[in-house]
Amino acid sequence: MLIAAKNLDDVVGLKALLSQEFDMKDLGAAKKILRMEIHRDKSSKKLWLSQQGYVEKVLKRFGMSNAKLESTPLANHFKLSSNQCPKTNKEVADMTEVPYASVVGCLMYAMICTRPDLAHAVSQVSKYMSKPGRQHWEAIKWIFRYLRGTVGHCIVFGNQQGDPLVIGYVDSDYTGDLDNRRSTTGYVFTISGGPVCWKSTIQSIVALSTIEAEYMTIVEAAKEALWLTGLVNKLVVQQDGVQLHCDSQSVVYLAKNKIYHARTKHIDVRFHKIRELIASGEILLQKIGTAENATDMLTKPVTTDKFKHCLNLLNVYSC
Amino acid sequence: MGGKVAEEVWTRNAIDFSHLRIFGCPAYVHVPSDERSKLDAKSKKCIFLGYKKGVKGYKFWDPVDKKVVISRDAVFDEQSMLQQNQEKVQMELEHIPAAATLERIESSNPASDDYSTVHLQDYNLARDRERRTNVKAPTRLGFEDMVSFALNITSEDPTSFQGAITSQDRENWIGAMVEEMESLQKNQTWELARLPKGMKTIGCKWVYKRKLAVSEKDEEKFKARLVAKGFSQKKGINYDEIFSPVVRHTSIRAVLALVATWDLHLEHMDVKTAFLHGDLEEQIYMQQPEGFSQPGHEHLVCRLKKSLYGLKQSPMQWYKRFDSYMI
Repeated sequence: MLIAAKNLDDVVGLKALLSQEFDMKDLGAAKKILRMEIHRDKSSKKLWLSQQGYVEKVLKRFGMSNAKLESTPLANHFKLSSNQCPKTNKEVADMTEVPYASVVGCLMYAMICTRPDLAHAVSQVSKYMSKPGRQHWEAIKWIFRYLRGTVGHCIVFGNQQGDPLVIGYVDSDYTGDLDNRRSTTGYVFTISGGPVCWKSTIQSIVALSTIEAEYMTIVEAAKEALWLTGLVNKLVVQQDGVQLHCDSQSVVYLAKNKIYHARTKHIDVRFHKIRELIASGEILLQKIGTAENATDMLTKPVTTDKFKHCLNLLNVYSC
Repeated sequence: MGGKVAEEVWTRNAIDFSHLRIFGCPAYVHVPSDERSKLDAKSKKCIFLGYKKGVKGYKFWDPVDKKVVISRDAVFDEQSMLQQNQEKVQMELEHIPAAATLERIESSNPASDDYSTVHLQDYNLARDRERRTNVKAPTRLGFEDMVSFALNITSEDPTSFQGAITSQDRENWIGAMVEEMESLQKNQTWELARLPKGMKTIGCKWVYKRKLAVSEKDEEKFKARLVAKGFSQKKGINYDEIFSPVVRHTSIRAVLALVATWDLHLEHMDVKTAFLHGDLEEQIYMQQPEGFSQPGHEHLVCRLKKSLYGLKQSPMQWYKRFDSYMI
C-alpha cells in the first residue's frame, strides 16, 4: 500500500490509525511496488520507475543474458503474418520445443508495468500464441536482444513547470495487420512528462480509409482520457479538458466540423461521441507534426533514430 | 506355475474365461435398429470366427452378405456344436460311410435350429450380462508413494503435512505451523462447533514455503500457512459474490507522477495476513487442520468467522472491510 501526502505528520497519523485497526508492517519510504523499483531525487523533483531486476531475471531465465544488442524492439524486415505459422507436422513438433507462451507472458508483464517501448512488438508477437512459427520465434529473440541493451530503461516523472496535466498522443497505422487487413491503434497519455497509460492494439473492425482508422483510435483514446481525468480530478488536480494530439489534419477537421460527409456515414456512432466530447470541451483535439508524435513507435516498426526520439519525447530512458 | 496361466501368476487376479467360445459355432448377431426396418429380423445367423485384436467384440462371418461382422451383441449356440461333436465321435466309432454321414448331419441341422430358437426366446440380455464386480480401486499406496516420500525428504518445500513432519527440517516446519495456528487463534478465525445436519465441511491443507535469507545475518525463514480448499465451495451455499477490484497499473503510475511534481512524501506499508481481517457473511464449516485437532473434540468442526486464504470470497471480504474502514 502506498501512502502519499504533502505533510509528513499526515503520513504518520494515517499509519498510526491503520496500525490500530490492522496488523501492519511499516516498510518506510517506498522502494518497490509490485516489483517495480522506485528511485527519487527530491532536489530535482524527479522520480524514476524501472524494472531492471525483473528484466534481468527474465533474460537469465531464457538464456539471453549474453545476447548481442539491438536498438529497436522490432525491425522492419519481420513481416509477421499467419502464413509463417507451421504447416507440416515436423514444423509443429519443432515449435513445441520453445516456451513461446511463457516468453510472451514475461514480455507482456514488463510492457504493462514500465515499458511502453515494447508495446507494439509484444502486440505483434502475441497474435501468434496458439500457433507460433519459426519467424515469430526469431522476432521474440530480437525483442530479447533489444531488452538486453535497454535493461535500465525507466519511466521518468517530473521536472516540469506548472501543474501536472494529462496530455494524450494518438496515432494509427492503416491496414498494418497482414492477416485480415485491420489497422493498428496506438495512444499514450503522459502526466508530468512521464507516460502513465499506453496501448498498441489491432482494431476490432476493418477501416476503409486512413481517416477512419485514425478516427477509431481517437475515440478509443478519448474513452481512456475520460477515465484518466476522472482519476486525476479525484486526486485534487482540476483539469478542464484533455489535450489530445493527433497528426492527421483531416481527422481534426472532421471531428470539429459538423458537416455531414457521405464517405463517413458508416462511422456513425463513434463520430457522434467524439464530436460531443469536443463540443463539451472535455477533449481538446490538436494537430501535431508527425515528427513530434511519440505514438509512432506504438503502431509500426520505426527506424532507430525515430525510435530513440520517441522515447525521449516520452521520458523513457536509462538513468 | 501350479497349473495357472502366466498372467494370473503375475497379476494375482483370477483370469476370466467367460468370453471364450467354440470356434466355428453358429451365433445370432444382433442387427442395430438403424440397419433394419421394422419387419426385418432383429438378428442374423453368423459363424463365430474369433476375436479382433484391439476391439472389444467377437468376429463373425456373415454367410448371406459374405462379409466379416464385428459385434458384442450376439447369442452363441454352442449346444448345436456339442451335439455335432458327439455325433462325429459316434460316427467315427461306427465307421459309417461318408454319404451317410452327410445325410445325418443334414438331418441334425433342423433339430439344432429348433433348439436355438427356443433358446433365443428365453434369452434375456439384462439377466445374462456379466456383472462388473471385480473392478478394483487403483493401488495408491504403492511404489509411487515411496517416490513421493523420497522427493519430500530432499531440500524442496514439502507439499503436505505428512511431508513436512517427515522432512529433515521437521522442527522448523512444526514451529512455523504453531506460529500460524497462534496467529489464527489470536484473530479468532473460527470457533469449534458441531456440524449441523445437512451441512458439509470443506477441507483445508498446509502450504509450506522456505524464504531465503535477505541478509547474511538473517537465517532462512520457514513459513507455513493454512489454506481452505476453496474449490469444494458450492455457489449459493458457501459463497455468492466474489468479485474483488484490483488496482490498475495506470493508477499507480498516475499517483507516482503527482508525487514527483508536487514533491510529496511517499511511504510504503504492508498488511500482514490481509485476508484474515475480512469478516465472513456465509456459514462455512471447515475440517480441523491436520495435526492440530483439539484433543477430545475431534468430532467437532471449525465454524469460520473470518475469511481464510483459499476461500473464494476472501479477497472480496478483505476489500469490503478495508473499504468500510477507510471511508
